[in-house]
Parts: sequence; structure tokens; C-alpha cells
Amino acid sequence: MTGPGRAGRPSRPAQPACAQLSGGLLAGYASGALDEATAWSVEAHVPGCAPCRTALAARLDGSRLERNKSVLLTRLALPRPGPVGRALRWCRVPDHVVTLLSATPALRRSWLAGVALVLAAAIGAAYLVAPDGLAGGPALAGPAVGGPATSGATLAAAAAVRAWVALMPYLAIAPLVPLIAVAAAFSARLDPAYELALAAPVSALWLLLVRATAVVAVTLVPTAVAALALPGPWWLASVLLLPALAVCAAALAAGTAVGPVTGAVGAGAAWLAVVTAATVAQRPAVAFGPAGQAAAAAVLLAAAAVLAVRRDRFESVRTRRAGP
Amino acid sequence: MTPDHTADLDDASLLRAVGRGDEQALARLYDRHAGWLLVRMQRRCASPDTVDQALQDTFLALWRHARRYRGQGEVSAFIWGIGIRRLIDAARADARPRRAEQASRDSRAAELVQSAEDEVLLGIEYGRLGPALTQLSPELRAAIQATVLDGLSMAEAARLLGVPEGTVKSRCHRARIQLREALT
Repeated sequence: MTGPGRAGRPSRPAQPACAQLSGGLLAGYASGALDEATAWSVEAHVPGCAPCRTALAARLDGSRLERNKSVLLTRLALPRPGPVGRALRWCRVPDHVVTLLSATPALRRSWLAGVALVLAAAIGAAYLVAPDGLAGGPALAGPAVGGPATSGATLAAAAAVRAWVALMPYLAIAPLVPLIAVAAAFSARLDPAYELALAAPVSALWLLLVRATAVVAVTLVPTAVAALALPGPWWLASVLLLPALAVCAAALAAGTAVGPVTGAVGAGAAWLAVVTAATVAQRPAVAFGPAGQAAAAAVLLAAAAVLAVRRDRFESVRTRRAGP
Repeated sequence: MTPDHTADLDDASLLRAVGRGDEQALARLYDRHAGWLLVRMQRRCASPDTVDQALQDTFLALWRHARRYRGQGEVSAFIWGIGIRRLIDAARADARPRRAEQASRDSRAAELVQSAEDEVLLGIEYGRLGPALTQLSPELRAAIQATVLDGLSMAEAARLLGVPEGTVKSRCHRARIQLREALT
């Protein structure tokens, strides 16, 4: 059917393959010139026949095979993702995002253990202040301090204040947990993937959103679980959500001007100042009641707007701080 | 670099060495088998990038799952069983570029053995089957190729060809009828 004259390139003489296939057939198969039925019979034979395999490989683009080989050997050397990484991959999260997330400090086991410890301490503090449980419980409306009240109402109000005070260590700390995690995710000193992220062809804003979302989501889980362990009401975790997000967003927005760590310290200090002031003024519920939630939402929106407008600035802050 | 100890090993021994984590053995298997695998994949997928990806994925899967090879059947058939499924996955990931590659389904990499169909196919070009196959419409031929030559299940063939499973079944059925008529 075909003679050796059809065999591939002139520099490569038709190798003495096996008796079943001529060099011409192999050449035709390699170049895709064979008709379907003949190609099938070549295909059925070649994989199991060592001489034909070698002869076929000799007719292919050697540089392409070599390139794939070196990529393959590099991929072998890459660490395999852990169970969480595999779960993410199963959920169709792209590989590079999985790598990015696995290098985020706040998603490490040691970090989460630290979070658990801090929250446990806050819960312990709550029980120390109010060992008999929270009679009456905190009320979001807040005690009407200084109002024309009966002595009974004053007593109930005082109990509510005491309940809030007992919860204050937890309430003050809880929004700081995601805040510190977010700051660490963007600090040059704490982020092991910092240089990698700098060189990555992605916008800093995208990086920010992916990492901050993952970090906030992961740290809010133990925080919310801790709220259930508190002597307070079950809805305690929900009043923390907006303040926590607002503090994180404010830190990132401030970070566009002064760098992520300074921004986080500033936002955290501001939060602690608000909470302390509310406690000292005997109106701790204000920070978490409707007024506090509205203020937090306003801060969140303002910070988001700042981030959107100054996203390029965020990029340059990251680059400038690459030095140390 | 130590002198290569893998040169004299046969494919089955190489695969066992890969199962023990011998990187040189994998490189040797690649040198022996990547060529035909590349051509065979290229004949089923037009995109060179997808084929390159599937080729790497295949040997990566070999590296991780070489222990699943129980020493039955041709090593090349084992490799193809993994390779065609990696190709299906890579082609699908390529169709939705923003999505991640489907989580590994290598565990189902079938241990294909040299089938009776393969024996028949070896004689194709000399007998009457060749012209009969050529007369089939491309769709019918592709269905026969996926199910007979590639050893895919109907469901896998459906994914490779991008048509519903029932369509693959009916095409195979029609192809068989036409072949029988052409050969009798």
C-alpha cells in the first residue's frame, strides 16, 4: 500500500520497525494523513509494540515532547494540596486561588488555634463577671439611664447594663479577630506569599477581595460559635457581623494611605475606643443596637467606596512596602 | 546524576518502580509512551494546549496511582485508559476556561486489556472492514472509535463527543447494522 518513499523527513531513514507496519504508515499516522480506517489499525498496534513506538516518537516534534516532560517533572515536585485544598478544588475553585488561600496566614491551623484561645478567654471573662448567668439579659434598646424611671425599671436597667458589661470583652474582641487576620494577609512581614502575590498578574483589588473574603468567612465561624457558648442571647453573633465587616473594611481603606498594618491598628484602636466609651458611659448597648448597626453599615459602605476609588493606590502601597 | 538504572526494565517493572516513587522510572515511561499517546490524543482533540495538558495530567495520574496497576494487561492499555479520561476532563475544563479542572477521577482508570476488537482492527487495512468503515458517516465512525477503540463506556463516550448518551448508543447501533450489511 505504501512504500518507504513516503517515510517522513529525509534526515530520518525509515527505521526497521516490526513486520506489521511500514515506516510509511507510521509517517502517515504521525502527520494525520492516513484515512480513518487505516489509522485505526495503526493505532491498535503501535501502543503495544516497542519498536513501532520508538519509530513513531522519532517522527514527532521532539521539542514539544521535551517541553511537556519538563513541565510534568516540575508539577511532580509541587506539593499536593491538603484535604481542605482538595475540597476547594472539588468545589471548582481554580488551582491558583487554592494556592493563594493555602498561603494565607490566617487560614493556618496554628492561627485558628490562637483565635479559639482568645475567644475562650473572652467567654471565661464573661462568666467571671456574671457567674450567676445574665438575669434579664442584655436588651438592644438599651437602658434608659437618667430617664424618669421607677425603681423597678431602674433595677432591670442596671441588670441589663451589667449583662452588657459581662459580654464586653467578647464583644470588643470578636470584630478584631477577622481584622487582625485581614491585616496579616496583606502584611509584607507576615505573608509568606507576599513576593509571589506582588509578581502575580492579578490586580491587587482582586487579591484583596479573595483573601479578605476567605479570611473573614473563616474567622467569623469560630467567633459565631463562641457567641453560642456565651451566657448571652442566641442572636449575639448576628449583632457582631456588621461591626466586624465595617472594622475590616475601614482598615483596608485606611491601608490604601498608610499600609495594611498601620491601617488595621488604627481601625482596631478606633473600634476599642468606641466600645470603651460606650461602656464607660453606661450605655454599652448603643454600639450594637440599631444606632450602632446603622453606623457600622455607613462605615462599611464608605470604606468600600474608598477602596473602589483608590484601588490603584492600594497597589502602589503594596509595591512600596515590598522593601522590608 | 546517578547512572540510569531504568534503561533495562520492562514497562511493568517501571510502573512498579513509579509506584514506589521512582521519578526516573516515570521519566523513562514518558520517553517510551508519550509519543504515541500524544498522537492518539491529537487525533481526538484539535487543541494542542488541551492535548499538552492532558498528556501531563496522564503521567501525573500515573505517578499518583501507579499502584493501582495489578500487572494484568498491557501497560500501554493501562496508560491509555487513564489518558483518554484525562483528555475528556481537559477538554471539558478547556470549554469552560475559568473553571477548575474536574477533581481527579483517576481512581476509575480502567485496566484495559487487549481486546478482541483490537485483534480484529489489526487486520482492518487488509480486509473488507477498511472500506466498510470508511463508508460510515463521520458521526457513526466517531461513536465506534470512542466505544470500541478507546474502550470508553457509553457515558464517557457521550462526554467526549459532546452528545447525549442515548445518541451514542443509537449511533453505535446504526454503525453496527451498516457494517454488517457491508460485510455480508
